Amino acid sequence: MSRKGSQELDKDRAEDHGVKSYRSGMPASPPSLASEQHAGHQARTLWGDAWYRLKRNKLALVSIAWIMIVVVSTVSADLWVPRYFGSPTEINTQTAFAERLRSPSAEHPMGTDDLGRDIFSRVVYGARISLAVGILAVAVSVIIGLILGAFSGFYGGWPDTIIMRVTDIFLAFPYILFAILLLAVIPPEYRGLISMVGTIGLLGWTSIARVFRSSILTVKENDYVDAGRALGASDLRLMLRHIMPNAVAPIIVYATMSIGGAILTEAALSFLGLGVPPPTPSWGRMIEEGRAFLTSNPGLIIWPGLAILSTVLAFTLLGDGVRDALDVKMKD
Amino acid sequence: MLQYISRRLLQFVPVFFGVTLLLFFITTVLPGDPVRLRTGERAMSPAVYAELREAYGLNDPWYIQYVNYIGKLTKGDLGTSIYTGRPVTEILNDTYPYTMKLAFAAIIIEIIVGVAAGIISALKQYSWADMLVTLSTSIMVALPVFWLGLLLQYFFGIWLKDWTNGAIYLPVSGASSSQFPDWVHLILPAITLASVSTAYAARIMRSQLLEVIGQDYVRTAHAKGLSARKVLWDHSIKNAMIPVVTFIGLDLGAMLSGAILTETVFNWPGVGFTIFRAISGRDYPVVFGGVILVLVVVLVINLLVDISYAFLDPRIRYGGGAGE
Repeated sequence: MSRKGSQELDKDRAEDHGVKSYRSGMPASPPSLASEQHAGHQARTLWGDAWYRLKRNKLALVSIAWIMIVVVSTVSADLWVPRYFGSPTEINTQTAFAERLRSPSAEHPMGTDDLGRDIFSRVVYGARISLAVGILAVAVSVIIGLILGAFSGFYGGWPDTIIMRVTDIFLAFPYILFAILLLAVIPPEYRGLISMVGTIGLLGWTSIARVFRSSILTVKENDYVDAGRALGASDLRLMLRHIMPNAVAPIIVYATMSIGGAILTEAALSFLGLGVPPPTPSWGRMIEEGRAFLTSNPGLIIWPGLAILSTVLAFTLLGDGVRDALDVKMKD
Repeated sequence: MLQYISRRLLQFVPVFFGVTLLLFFITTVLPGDPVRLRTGERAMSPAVYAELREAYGLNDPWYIQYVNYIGKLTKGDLGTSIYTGRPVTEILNDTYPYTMKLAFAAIIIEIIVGVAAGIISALKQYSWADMLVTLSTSIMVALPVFWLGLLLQYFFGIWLKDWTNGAIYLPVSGASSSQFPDWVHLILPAITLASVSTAYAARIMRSQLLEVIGQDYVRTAHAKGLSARKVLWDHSIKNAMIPVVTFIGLDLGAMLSGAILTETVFNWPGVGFTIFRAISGRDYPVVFGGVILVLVVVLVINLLVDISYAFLDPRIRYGGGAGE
C-alpha cells in the first residue's frame, strides 16, 4: 500500500517536471471511431493505427512536406546552389565590394550579405547544421534518457533516488547558462558540430528520463509483466519485450517535439557566438552577423530567422500530430 | 505543512551542493587564465602575475578553492570580480533590480494576454478567434527569442520612426535615457521575454477551461439555475486557473534567473547578461555569485509554487501520513 502510494507521488512529480510542452486540443480533430471502422478493413497494429491517423492530419502532412523540402534541398545543395546562386562561404575579393548588401533580385533571391555572399545559398547550407544538431542532439538525449529512465523506473530504490536527484540538479541549473558554461570549456578552435550535439544532448536527457520513468512505473504494474516474470523471463527480457514497447510512445512524441527545441537552442548558442565557427553558415550566427546592418538591411536577419521559424514550427506541428496519432496524453 | 516545507528545504541541500560543485568543476577545466585576461596584451612581471594568482587563490586545487568559497559564502562574502575588482555582491546588487523589473513586466504581460487569450479561445472554441490564438501560439513557441527581439527593434525603433518621420518610436536598447521615462524602455524587452511563455499560458488556460466546462459539476451548477456568469467565474475559471498559476509561477522563477538572450539583444544590464559576459571573460567570482543567486531564487520560487497548490486546491494536502 505504502509502496504504491509513494510510486504515485513519484509519478506526479515526474509529470510536474517532465514535459515542457503543453499542447492539447488542436482544432484538427481526430477521426471518429465510426469513420475508422468504415475505412479500415483489416485489423491494424498500434503503429498502423497511428500512421492512419497521422495521414489524415493536414497540418502534420504539410509539416512533413516542409521538412522533406528542407532536408532534400540542403543535402543536394552541392549539386545546384553554388552553380546558380554562388558559394555560401567563398568571398570573391574582386567583386565583394560591388556585390555587397544587394537587394533581392532574380540572381540573388534573398540579396547578398556584407561580404557579397548570396544569402539564399547561406540559408540553404545553414540548414545542415540546424538539422544535424536538432536530430543528433535529440538522439543523444533519448539514448541517455532511455537507459537511465529505464533503470530508474524498473529497479527503483537507491539507483532511482540518485538518478532523480541528478535530474533535480540539471533542472535547477538555468538551461541556457548551463549550455554556455559547457561550451565555454571547449576552446573556440575545437567548437563545432560535435560539441554542440554533445552539449544540447547532455542537457536534454533529464526530461526524457523522467517521462520514460513515469511511463515505466505505470506499465510495470500490468498483469502481463507479472505473468512474464512468473514464466521466468529475465529482467532484460521483461524490459525489452514487455515493458519498453508499451512505454515508448510518449518518448517518440517527446523526441519529435524536442527536435524543434534543439534547433532553437543551437540557433541561440550560435547567436551568442558559441556555435560552429565561421565560415560554415549557421542560421543563428547569420542573425548575429546581420545585427550590425539592422537599420539599413533587415533582410540579413529576416531570412535566416524565417528559416528557423518555419523549420521549428514544422517539427512542433509534426510532434502535435504524432501525439494525437499515438493518443498520448502529455501533461506539464 | 511545516513538515512538508522543512523536508523540501532539506532537499535543497544536495541540489545546492550538486550545482555548485558542478560549477567549480566546469570552471577549473575551462581554458584561459583570468589573470592574463585581466591584463590583456600588456606584459606583466612574473612576480606580479604570481602574486595575483595567489591573491585569487587560483593556485589551489579546485576542491580547496571550493571549500574556501563555501566558507566565505556562509559569511555573505562572494569575493571580488577579477576584472573590475568590485565586490561581487555590489555587482549583483546593481544588476539584479534590472532582471527583476524585466521579469515582472514580462509576467504581467503573460498573465493578462495569456490568460485572456486562453479564456476567449476556450469559450469560443473553433471560432476564428480560437483559430487565431491556436495559430499564433504555435508560431510564438517556434520563434527564436533573439530574432523576435531584433524584429521588434527594427519595426518599432527604425521602421516606425521612418514612417512617422521620427514622431513615434520606441527605444530599442539600454535601460535609461533622458528621452523616455524608464518604463518605456521596458516595453520591447518585456514583450520579447514574455512571448514564448504567454503562448504556453494561453494553451494551458484553453485546454484546462475546456476540460472543466465539460465536467459534471459545471452542468449541475447550470441545472440548479446559477447565472451563466457565476458558473463561468466561480466554478469554471477558478478551477481551470490552478495549473495556469503553477505554470506562471515556475515561469517567474525561470525569468528571475536572468534572460540571457533578451538581455543581450537589448543590452539590458541584468544578471543574465552579467553572467554571460563574466563567462566569456573568465571572471569566475562573478559567475559563481551570479549562478548561486539565480539558483537560490529558482529553488525558493519552485517551493512557493508547490506550497501555493495546497491553498489553491484544497484536495492537496502535504505532509502528515500522505504517501511518503
